Amino acid sequence: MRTTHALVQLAAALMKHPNDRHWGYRLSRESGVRSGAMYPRLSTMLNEGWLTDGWETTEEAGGRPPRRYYRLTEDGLRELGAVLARAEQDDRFRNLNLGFT
Amino acid sequence: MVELLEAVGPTSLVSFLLVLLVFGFAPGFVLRIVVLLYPKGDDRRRELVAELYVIPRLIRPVWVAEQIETALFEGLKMRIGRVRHRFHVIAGNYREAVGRCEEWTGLCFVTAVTEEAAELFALNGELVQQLMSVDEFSENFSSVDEFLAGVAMGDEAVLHVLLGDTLRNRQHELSQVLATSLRLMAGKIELYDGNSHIAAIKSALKGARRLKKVRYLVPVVGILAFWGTGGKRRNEYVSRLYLDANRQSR
Repeated sequence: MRTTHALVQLAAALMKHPNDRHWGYRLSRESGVRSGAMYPRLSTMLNEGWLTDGWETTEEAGGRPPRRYYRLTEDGLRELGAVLARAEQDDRFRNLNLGFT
Repeated sequence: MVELLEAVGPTSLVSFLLVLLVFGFAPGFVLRIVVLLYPKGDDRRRELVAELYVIPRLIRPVWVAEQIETALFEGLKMRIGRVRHRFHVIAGNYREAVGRCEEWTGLCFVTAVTEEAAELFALNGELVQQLMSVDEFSENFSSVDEFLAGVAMGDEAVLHVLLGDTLRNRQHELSQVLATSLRLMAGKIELYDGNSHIAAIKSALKGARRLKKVRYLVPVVGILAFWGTGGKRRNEYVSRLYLDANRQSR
């Protein structure tokens, strides 16, 4: 997968809470990636095995339709960690506030 | 009180209804239409609709507008990809099938009239390698006669002829052709009606597997389409078939 701004921002948002479930809209807000760019990347990550997905239960949903969530896999942690490490060295991503020291 | 009612008079009512429409009804309605761009059964359809209800009402219209872009570039791309894949499966397997059938029997043609039929072949695995699209058929033959004349010269060919809807109105013509061809053919012809074509393909597949099991003849499952198109390429192709058949019979 090409290292783009959207991927780096998504990686940063996912890695902030690596063990949590991530939801589409919230992830879009946290990463600052618009949904038009985010969803195709989430699909690619799913295909690559970096993420797994699931649906919240009806009890959790509480009356509204159940949402789909994404969770990082071991591979995902490793790969996205590598993406962030590369981004840290790359001048293109200096302007992104990714929490690098 | 009267002044208050006058203040929220007709103008405010229109504004109120407009707000209801833009922030209440329209986002969900439009989004449900937009997600139809994704292929049937795709999880993204459910996902986007579910996400809508956790988004603050004020930004829902803008978010839905964003999804139009997502659906156009992701959903439509998936749909086009699936159609192209299906086309390639049919075209690619046809080439392979012709090679295999020529090797075994001298001549062999398999055609598919409907998309469902093609899919059914694909689902059944083995015979996906023996498909010919309607377009390819009509490019290569101008009539059923031409088609059968070629097949008839192949030794021991078993031909399952499936009448598609396009042939239903030409059964008289077809039966004449078949009558002539039957005399020429060493094998047999099974004729199915277009109305029950899916059941017929299933039955043909079952028969084909049975034949394969006893190592009898190469099963040829044919669905004839008669579009009456002409062309140089067709004539060349038919000539080549006759040449091949003659070479075999010698």
